[in-house]
Formats: sequence, structure tokens, C-alpha cells
Amino acid sequence: MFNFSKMKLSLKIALGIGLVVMLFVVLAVYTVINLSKINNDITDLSVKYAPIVEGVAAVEKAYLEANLYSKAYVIRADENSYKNAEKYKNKTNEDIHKLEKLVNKFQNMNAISNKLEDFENLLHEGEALLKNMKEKNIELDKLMAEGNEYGKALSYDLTIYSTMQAQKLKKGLRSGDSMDIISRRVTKMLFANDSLDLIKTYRINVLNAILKNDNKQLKDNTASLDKIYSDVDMILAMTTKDVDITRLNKIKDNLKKYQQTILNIAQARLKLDEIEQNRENVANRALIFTEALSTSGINSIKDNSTKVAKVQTQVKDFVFAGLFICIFLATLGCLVVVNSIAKPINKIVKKLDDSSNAVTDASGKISLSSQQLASGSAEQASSIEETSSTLEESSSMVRQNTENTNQAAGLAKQTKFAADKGYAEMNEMMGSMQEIKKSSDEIGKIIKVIDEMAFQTNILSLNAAVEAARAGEAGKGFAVVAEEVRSLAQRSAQAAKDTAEIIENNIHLSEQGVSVAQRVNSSLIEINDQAQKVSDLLDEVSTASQEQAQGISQINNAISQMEQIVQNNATTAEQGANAADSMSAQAVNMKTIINELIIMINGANQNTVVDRCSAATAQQSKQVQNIKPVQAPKKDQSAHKPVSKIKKDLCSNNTKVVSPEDVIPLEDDTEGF
Amino acid sequence: MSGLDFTVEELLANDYDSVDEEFLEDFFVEAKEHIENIEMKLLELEKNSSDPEIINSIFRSYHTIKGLAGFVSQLLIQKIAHTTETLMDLCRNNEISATKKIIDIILLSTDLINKICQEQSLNKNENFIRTACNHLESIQNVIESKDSELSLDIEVEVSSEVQSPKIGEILEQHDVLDEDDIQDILEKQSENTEMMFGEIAVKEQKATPKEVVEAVRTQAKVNTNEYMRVPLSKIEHLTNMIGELMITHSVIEQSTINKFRTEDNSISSNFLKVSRITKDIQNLAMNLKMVSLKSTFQKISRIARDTIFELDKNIMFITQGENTEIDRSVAEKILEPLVHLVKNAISHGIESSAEERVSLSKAVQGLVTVSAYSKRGFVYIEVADDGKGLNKERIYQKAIEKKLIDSNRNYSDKEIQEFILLPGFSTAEKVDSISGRGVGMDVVKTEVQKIGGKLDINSQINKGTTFILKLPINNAVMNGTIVNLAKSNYIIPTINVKQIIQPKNEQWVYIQSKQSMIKVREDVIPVIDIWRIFDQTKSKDYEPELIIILEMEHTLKALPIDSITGRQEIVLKPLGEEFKNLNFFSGSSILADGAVSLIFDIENLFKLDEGAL
Amino acid sequence: MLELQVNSQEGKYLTFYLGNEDYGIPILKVKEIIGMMDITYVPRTPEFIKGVINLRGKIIPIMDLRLKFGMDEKDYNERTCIVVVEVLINGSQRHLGIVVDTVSEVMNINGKDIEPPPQFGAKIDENFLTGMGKVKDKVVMLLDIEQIVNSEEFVALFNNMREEETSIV
Repeated sequence: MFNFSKMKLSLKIALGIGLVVMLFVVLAVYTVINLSKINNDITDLSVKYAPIVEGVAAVEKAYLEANLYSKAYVIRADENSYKNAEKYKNKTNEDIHKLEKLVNKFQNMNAISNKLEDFENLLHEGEALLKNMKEKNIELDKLMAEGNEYGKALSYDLTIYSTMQAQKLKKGLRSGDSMDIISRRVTKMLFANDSLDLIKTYRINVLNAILKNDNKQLKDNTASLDKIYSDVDMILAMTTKDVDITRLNKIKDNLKKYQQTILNIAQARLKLDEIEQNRENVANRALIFTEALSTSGINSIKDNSTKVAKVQTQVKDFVFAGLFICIFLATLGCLVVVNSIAKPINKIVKKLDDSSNAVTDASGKISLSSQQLASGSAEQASSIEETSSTLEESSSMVRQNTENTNQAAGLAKQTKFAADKGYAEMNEMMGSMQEIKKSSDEIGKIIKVIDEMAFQTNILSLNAAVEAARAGEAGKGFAVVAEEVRSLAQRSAQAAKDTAEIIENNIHLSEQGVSVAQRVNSSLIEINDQAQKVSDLLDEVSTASQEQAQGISQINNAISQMEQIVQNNATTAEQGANAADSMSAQAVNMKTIINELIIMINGANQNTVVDRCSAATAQQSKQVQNIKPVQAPKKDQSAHKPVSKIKKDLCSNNTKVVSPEDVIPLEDDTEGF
Repeated sequence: MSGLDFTVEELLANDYDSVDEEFLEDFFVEAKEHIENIEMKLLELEKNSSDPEIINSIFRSYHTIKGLAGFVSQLLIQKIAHTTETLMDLCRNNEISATKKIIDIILLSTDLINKICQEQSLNKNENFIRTACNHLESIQNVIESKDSELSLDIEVEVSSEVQSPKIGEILEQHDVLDEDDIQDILEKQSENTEMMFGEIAVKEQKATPKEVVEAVRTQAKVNTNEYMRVPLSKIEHLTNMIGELMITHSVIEQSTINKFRTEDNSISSNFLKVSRITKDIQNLAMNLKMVSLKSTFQKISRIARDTIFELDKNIMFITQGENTEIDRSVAEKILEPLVHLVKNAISHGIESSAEERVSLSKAVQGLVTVSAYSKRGFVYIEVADDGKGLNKERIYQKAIEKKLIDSNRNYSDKEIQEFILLPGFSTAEKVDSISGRGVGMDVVKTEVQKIGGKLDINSQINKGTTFILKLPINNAVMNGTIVNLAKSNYIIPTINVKQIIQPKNEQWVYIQSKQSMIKVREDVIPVIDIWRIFDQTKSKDYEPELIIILEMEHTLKALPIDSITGRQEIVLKPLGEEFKNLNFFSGSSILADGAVSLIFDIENLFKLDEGAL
Repeated sequence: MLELQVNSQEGKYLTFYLGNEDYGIPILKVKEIIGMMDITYVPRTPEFIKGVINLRGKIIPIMDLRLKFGMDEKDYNERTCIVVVEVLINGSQRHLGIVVDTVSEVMNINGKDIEPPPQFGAKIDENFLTGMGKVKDKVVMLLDIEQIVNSEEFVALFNNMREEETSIV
């Protein structure tokens, strides 16, 4: 803030407003963060804790059910109860797993999850116990059945024994056994029946004890069996028959076993009781755990709610405080900014006014100098034009020169062509002569044929003459004809011979002709060569001229480029003048604007400044007007040839007309080409 | 009928059919010529009745007709000719002047003869005979009275229909109509003269149109069968010219085809056509000269009969294959050899006595057969007897006796048999009019060889002997092998060519450092010293490329030659009087290129070679 | 015809050249004139007999007159001709070809222009000549062709042959 005054106006304003806005933003951010925290907590409440509590409740409920059925099983020891207990145990397990999953989703639930783990362990323990109990129950059932079996067998054997003794007795009585035997037998029977009774009683007692769940009585009752044991021993002592001894031994054996079984049962039942005790223990512990679970769930909900309420209060307080600070800071900033803007603007406007006046003056001066530059350019252009035209003339001279050379070359070529043609025609002529010779040969052949024919005719005519002579008188006329034919044949032979000679002559002459033609031919070839040489030389000259012409045209090009540049210069000068004009106009404009600015800043009471400014402007515009007469004709000139027009004007002013020849002494120059 | 020494009945009873058709044709042709001559002469006679030469000529013609007519049993013609001849004789002797009347009579006679010549059936036509008799009677009257005015006017009316068989007759011959039918139709025709016989026959359903048309054709055929006598020389000239034509043709053909071969196929095909036609013409011309052996055999039969009578032997003589055709000149030339052979067979072949034959358990009657047949361009004539056969020992003895052979040499049976063909050989002890002059057999052989033939003997003792003559159908054309020798072409009759070999050095046998012999397998064959024969000096280093082995009568000789040019049918031309003495050439022939080539006469060549040695 | 010739030498003659000399043959002896053609050599004949030719189917012997007259042999060219003559050889009418350098013309020679042949000094045997004809500025030697053909040499050849023939057959 220490260099605040140096800062841009807009920046200053922005800084002020920005500060305030920042404060508001800080405030708003704080509020929003806290609000979102609250919101989270509330969400936690609904999403996290509520289902946990719910789960805990479910677990509790399921466990209670399971426990109920476990207990029922302990009492009833039936399958149904077991199954239900199992089922609810499983359900509890499932619920626990669900809860675990839920708990694991969120952090900071270790308390619950630990508890849950413990609970789970308990649950497994209980389960194991229940299973153990079941096993024991089965064992017990088996033992019971066994005992029952032994008991039954015992009574049966004894009954059979006594019945048999009775029958034997009856027999003995009928057969008249000795009294001794009979008495022994009666004794035996008495012992047996006694034992039978005892067993029956014992069995009833056992049942009672079981029903009453009195393990002690069960154990104690076994002593009564010892009596039976001794009875049987007695009988044994009296018995001689092996069969009976065996049977009695068996009874004894069974009795022993029965006794043992009963003892086992009693023991088992004790064990069962013990397990039940354990189970009860575990169940109780578990129940405590469930309670603890639900309690902890509800507790966490409670904690959260309190936390939310606390945060809310904090936020409310902070927002109010922030608002106050902001309003204060904003008002302060505004004041500082407005002050810092207004002061420098006033200073600037003053300086602006001064400098605009200076600009108006300068622009007038630029306009004037531009005008002068333009006129100078025009003069330069005209002199270049002159050079150009002179060059053009010399170029045309060179061109003519080239043309002449070309013409000469053409003539040389024509000469060569004519010589060529002559050569070709000569060749043709020679060919024709050969042809003549050939046809002469052919004619010679034909003449030979004619000669041959004449000879044949001669022979024929002679034959005819012979025939005629043979015909005697009658053949006379014919002989005349034959003679005539013969003379004709001879004449044609002669003619053929003559022709052959002529042809021979012809051949000779044509041969001569051929040799002459050959000589002419060689001369023509010479001519042809010479013409070729001339043509070649002229071609060289022509090429040189062409090169010269090319050089001139290059110079021409350079000049026209110069022309272009000069023209460009003129144009640029003109444009400079124009720009100066428009600059002064702009200066006036600027003045007006500055005035307006001043009015805007300082209010309408600052009139003096405006007046002074307008006076300066008026003076300047007057200066500009003085230059205008020079500018005007320039602007009239057409766009294409501004330079040449000026040049013309200059030329006409000059009055002295200079011909290109005077400027460039042509004769001298041509020698150089 | 006073003056006639014969009656109409006699004429009618004459047997006209016994004569051979061919002879009859010949007779008619000849008679017609004479009649033409007579008619021409008669016209001359009218102009110049006193010329004895004309009358003589007419007389001779009638005389010839009379003679010929007697030969072919043309009794009526004979009578007419005879009577007219008598009349002419009177004229000739100027006993009767040849008036117009006489000329008319003679003309009438010629007409009658002419009519008979044209229409044989007139011989059986009683009306015609009567007319003729009347005419002859009137001539007789003239002869007897020597008054030409006493002749009767007789019109000879022979309708043109008489000249050719009637349709009715032909149809009757064809078993289409019987006599009654013909009579019916003729009656109908007389009622309606506009209609033709055939038309009525068809209309009356006696004959089908087809049968009638056939009959008309037959009639036309009979009408056109005419003859004409042409001098043999003309025919020979014609054959020669055709031979010439063939040669010229082949010359043109060769050069033309060589020239145009690639350009035009039609030329060569046309040439082929032309050569076919020429060949046909040649065959035709050759055929013109062909005659059957009938007349030859008839002559032989006659001689054989005479000979048998003369010798009084019981021999039957038979001829077979008399229709075999042969060149006329050959037929003429063969007669004498055949007569010799037949006579020999009768006199020497057949046993002299019947007992001899009986002892050999042969038929009492001997048998001599002359048979002819043609085979592969040759005509074979066999003269066979079933007699004794050739006695080889006697022949051998005789040959030795007559010093005809070399007694130091062994001869095969066949060679011994052929001794009888040697000149001057005759085994018969006594010379009689029939055989035994010792010239017979060698004449036979020479004659046969002259006409290009060959004579073979086939004899078995006590079984018989057969002489086989192998004769060319005509002697003008033969197959020749053209060889090149000392840059000229010569022709060797292919029949004499046995073998052509390429000699190897070791085959030559040198005598006096000359290649005198050549060894061919087992045989050593003498080489003909052709240079000596040609009267030329042989260049020393001349080595013949080829050797051609020639065979003649079982003799082999080798002829060195340069090359074989070809083999073709050649037309033999006599070499001419000038060279007649160069007898180792039998003649010349014109080859396809138009050049003349000389034909070797192998027999004479051999002889000349031997003579030169 | 022959009689006519014998009686008078006057008449038409066919003239021809042998070398530079003109010869004449009575035209009636001439059958025809033909160009040169291939001649088939016949062995065992005198040198002047060149052989035989085929004249339209007739075989006729050819005699070279130059050789016969003992002149140099000359190659035949297109001017060389064969004059076919009709002659009596041993009494029979024969055709014979005579090779001459070239034929010239048929000319009529009057009897008064004919002189007898010189007794000596002639190039050829006087027996072969019947006379010397003078026509215009030329002298034509008139040949007796029969005499030539029947001359000893020629006849001897034939006779020799005939003897040979008879001895063989």
C-alpha cells in the first residue's frame, strides 16, 4: 500500500473492491466448510450410526432367539429345538457379519468391531458347547437303550430259569426224586424268583431316577444289584448242571454289564449338566455383550448429535463477526481509492493541454516541409525521364542494328538453302541419269528380244520359203510373201541394231552427263560450305547485337526502376503533407476533447483554459491555409503519371528544348557496340 | 427264174448264224468301203463310159465283195456280187457297153448289198430276197442277151423300219409281248396311223411305259453301232502323237508347276486333270490297236488241222482264250512262232503211234492246246502237248554233237531244255515239210524277243511239254530304268534289271588291273566294258557309283553307272535307219524333260561285250 | 524333184554361214530350219555326228557341218541353227539335221551365175560342191548335201555297223 499513489487508477479501484470481496469470500468459505462438517455429521448419524444400531438390535434379537432355543434343547433335548437353536445361531452370525461389514465401512468403529469379534467368539463357544451337548445326549440315549436291553435280558433269563426249575421240580415230583434234590430245586427257584423281583424293582427305580433327573439316586441304586448278584451265586453253588451253570454265568455277566451301564449313564448325565452350566455361562456373557453393543451404538449417536450442535453454534458466531469486519473495511477502501484517482487526473489534463498546443504548431511546420520535398521529387523525375527517352532511342538503334544483322544472316541462310536445293536437285538429276542409264539398259534388253524375234522371224520366213519352194508353182505367191517377211525381219533386226547403237550412245552421253553433274555437285557443295560459314558469322554478330540490346534494356529497366522510386518519393512526400494536414486537424480536435475532459474533471467553472486552447488552434489553421496553393495542383494530377506531369510542367517552364541526340552523341556510341 | 443257178428257198435255208459276229462286222466295214468306191466310180463312168480302168476298178471291188461274202457265208451278197461281177466282166471286155441302164443296174446291186450290210434280217426276208432275185434275173438276162435294154425295172423297197429292229420285235425278245399281241397292236396301228407302236402297246396295257422306253433305247443302240476302217498307219501315227503329247505335257507341267507351285493350286490340279485325260487318250489309242487273238488262233487251227491230217495222227487241237486282246503288231508277229510251236508239238511232241500212248496209259487221242490269257500287263500264250516231253539226254547229246555247247560244263535240266532254242539245233533225223530244218526253235525265240517277249519251256518226260510265251500287250510302251552314264541318260528295260548295288572295293575282281568282274554274294559277274563299246576312253580315276546287274537269259552282267535317274513307262521310238546298226540300242525314248534317251538292247549289249572280249 | 536339181543348178538356195563363208543348199532338200536344241549324244559315232534330237516325236541325227568340213569347233549360240534336210541315204529318204553357224536367206540363183567348183584350192572337198554361185557381191558355195551324207566316212560307219549286226544275229 505504500506506493499506492503510483498505481493505475483502475488497479486502485480494483484493489479496494477486491479487498472487500476477499473478506467476504473468507467468511463464506469458513461458513461453508463448517456447514458441510455439520452436514457430514448429520449424514453420519443417518447413514452410519442408525444402521449400526439397527444391526446391533438385529444381532441381539437373533441371539436371544438362539439362546432361547438352546435352553429349550437343554431341557427337552429334542431335535427341533436344536435345529432352531442352530438356525438362530446362524442368523446371529449372519447379522454379525452384516454389522461387521457395515462397521468396517466407517472409521473409528473399532470399539464396536472389537466387541463384535468377542461376541462372535462367544457365539462360537456356545455353539461348540451345544454341539458337545448333543453328542453327549446321543451317547446317553445309547447307554439308556443298552441298560434297558440288559435289564430286559436279565429278567428274561431269570424267568426262563425259574420256569425250567419249576418244570424240573414238577417232573421230579412225579418221578419221585429225592427230597434233597427237590429241596435244592425249590431253593434255587426261590433265589431265582427273588432275583427277578429285585431286578424289576431296580429297573423301575432307574426310570424314576432318570425322570427325576436325580443322578445321585441312580448311582446309589446300583448297590441293590449286588444282592441279585449274590443270589445268583447262591444258585450257582447249588447248580450242578453245566447248562444251568452257563446260563447262570451269563446272567451274572449281564448283570455286571447292566450295572456298569447304569453307572455310565449316571456319569454321562453329570457331564451333561456340567456342559449346560458352561453354556449358560457363555450365553450370559454373550447377552451382556449384546447389550454392550447396543449401548455403544446408541452412545455414538448421542456423541455425534452433541458434536453437531456445538459446531453449529460456532459457525453462527463467526459469520456475524466476519460481516461486521467486512463492511468496515469496504467503506474505508472506497474512500482511499476515490482520493487517489482524482488528484493525478487533474495534473495530467493540465499537461495535456500544454502539449496539444505544441503538437499543433509542429504539425504546421511538417506540412510545409513535405510540400517542398514533393516539388523536389518532381524535378528529379523529369530528368530521369529524359535519360530514359535517350536510352530508348539508343536501344532502338541497337535493335535496328540487330535486325539488319538478322536480315544478313537470313540472306546467308537463303544462299545456303539455295545451294542445298541445288545439291539435292543435282542428286535428283544424277538419279534420273542413272534411271536413264537403267532404262537404256532395259531398252537394250528389249532390243535384244526384238533382235531375237527378228532372228526367229527370219528362220520362220526361211521355213516358209522352204515350204513355198516345195509347193512348187502353187507356192510362188507364198514365196514372195515369205521373202517379204524375211526382209521385214531383217529390217527390224537392222532397226534393232541401230536402236541398240543409239541407246549405246545415249548411255554414253548420260554417263558423261553424270560426270558433269558430279562436278557441278562438288562446286555446289563448296558454295554450300561458304554460305554456311557466312551464315555462322552473321549469327555471331546477331547474337552480339542481341546481347547489346539486352544490356540497354537492362539499363532502361534500372532507370524505370529509378523513376518508380522517385515517383514513390514524390508520392510519399505528398502523403507526408497530407498527413501533416490531418495531424493539425487532429490537434484541434484533441484540444476540444481535452477541454471536455477538463470540464468533466473540474466542472464547468474552468472556462479560461478552454479559450486559450481554441485561440492557439485558430492560429495554426491559418498557417496551414497558406501552404494550400502549392498543394492544390498536386492533388489535381492524375494517379498514373504524376511525375511525368510535373516533369512536363518543368520542361515547359524551362523553355529550352534538349534533343536526345544532343544529350547522347549517338555516332560515337554505336562504335562501341 | 430261168437264168439263176439257185432258188429263193436255197437262199432262205442258208445258215447265216454260223459266222462269227466279229468277222461279219469286219466284212460289213470292208464291203461298205468297196460299195463307196463302186458308187464313186459309177459316177465317173457316167461321165466317161469308155474308161476301162474305171470298169476294172468296179469289177475288182465286186470281186472282193464276192470273195469276202463267201468267207462269211453271206450267200445273198455273194450271189448279187457274183452276178454283177459277171456283168462287169462283160463290160470290161466291151461285150456290153456301159450304158445308163447298166449303171443303174449296178447301182441297184450296190444298194441291195448296202441294205443287207445295214440290216442282216433282210437275209431272211423272203420279199426282199425275191426282189433281189428278180433283179439278178434281169441282170442274167442282160448278160445272156448282152443287151442292156432287156433289164427289168425293179424298185427295191426297204422301209427304214426294216433297217433296225422293230419295237415289237424287241419287246417280243424281252418276253413282254407275244406274237398275237404284236399282231393286235399292228392292226390297231393300221387303224390309227398317227399312233406309235409303243403308244398303243401302253394304251392296250400290253406293256409298261418303262419296258417301251427300254426297247426304244435298245433300238437306238443297235442303230448307232457303226464301224469304220482306218489305216493302221494313221492309228500308229495317232498313238505316236499321243505319246508325244504326253511327253510335252509333262515337260510343260514340270516347268509350269515349278514356276507357279506356291501361287496357284488350280494350275497343278488342272494339269493333273489334263494328264489323266491324256493318259486315257493314250489307253484309248493303244486300245485302237488292240485286236483279239481270234483270227490268229483260227489261222493256227487251220494249220494244225492240216498238219494233223498230213501226219495222220490222232490229235485233238484246242484253242482257249481267243478273246484275249493284244497289240495288232504283236499279234501279227506272233503268228509265225506260234505256228512253229504248234507244228513242233504235233510232229515231235505227241507220240508217233497210238500204241506208245497206250503203253503209257494215256488217252489214244493226243491233245495239243493253245491257250492265251493276260496277266499283269503281259499276255501269256501257252502251247501245250501231252506227249513225250523233252528228252534231256538226247538234247544234250545232240548239243554236244553239234558243238553248240561246252562239253566240260555241267548244265542244269532247265539249261538243257533251253538248248533246243539254240540256232542250228534240231533233233529230228529226217527233214520234212513240217519241221526238222533246225531253224524252228531259234526263230521262235528270236521273234519272241524282238517283240519284247520271253519264251519259257516247261517239260516233263512222258507227260508233255509246255512252251510259255510272255508277250507285252503292246511293244511300244515298256517300263524303263533311267540311268546316268557318262553324263548322259540311258534307259535300261526294267525287265532286264536284276539288282542295283553300291560296289565295295573288296567286291571287285581285277584282271590285268581292270575291274573286270564283280563279286555279288556267291556269283562272280563280268563287268561290261561299256567304254570300249562306246568307243570312248575312260578317265583313269573314274569310279562308278553304282553297279546295275543286268539279266538276260539267265546270264548276268554288271554295268557300272553313275546314278539312277528314275524309272518310268517309256514309249519306244525307233532310232532311225542311220543308227540301225548301233544294235546295242533298241531305240530311243523321249523323257519327261523332252530330251532323247537311248534304250539299251541288253541282248545285243551282252553279245557285243562278249564279242569285244 | 531330184531330177530337176540334177538337170539344172538354177533355182532357190537356202544360204547359211560357216565362219565367214556363205554356203547354199538347194531349198528343196531343206525340210525346215530350227533353233539349236539339246542333242543327245550317241556313242560309237564319228565326231561330226553330234547325236540325235527329238523333232516333234521324230528322232533325227544331227551332223555338225563345221566338223565335217574339218573346221574349228565353235560353241553353239542363239544364232546357231539346225537345218533339217531330206536326203537319200543308201537309197532311203531320211531326215538329217545339219548344224550351221546361222542361216542367212533364201535366194534365187540363176544358172548363168553358177560356176563349176574349183578343182583345187577350196577349203573343202570339191566333191561336196556342186558349184559356186555369185549373187550380188557374194560367192555362195553350193553344197551337194547327199554327197556329204553319203561320203565314204559316213557310209563306212554305217556299213561297218551293218556288218557287225549281221555277224551277231
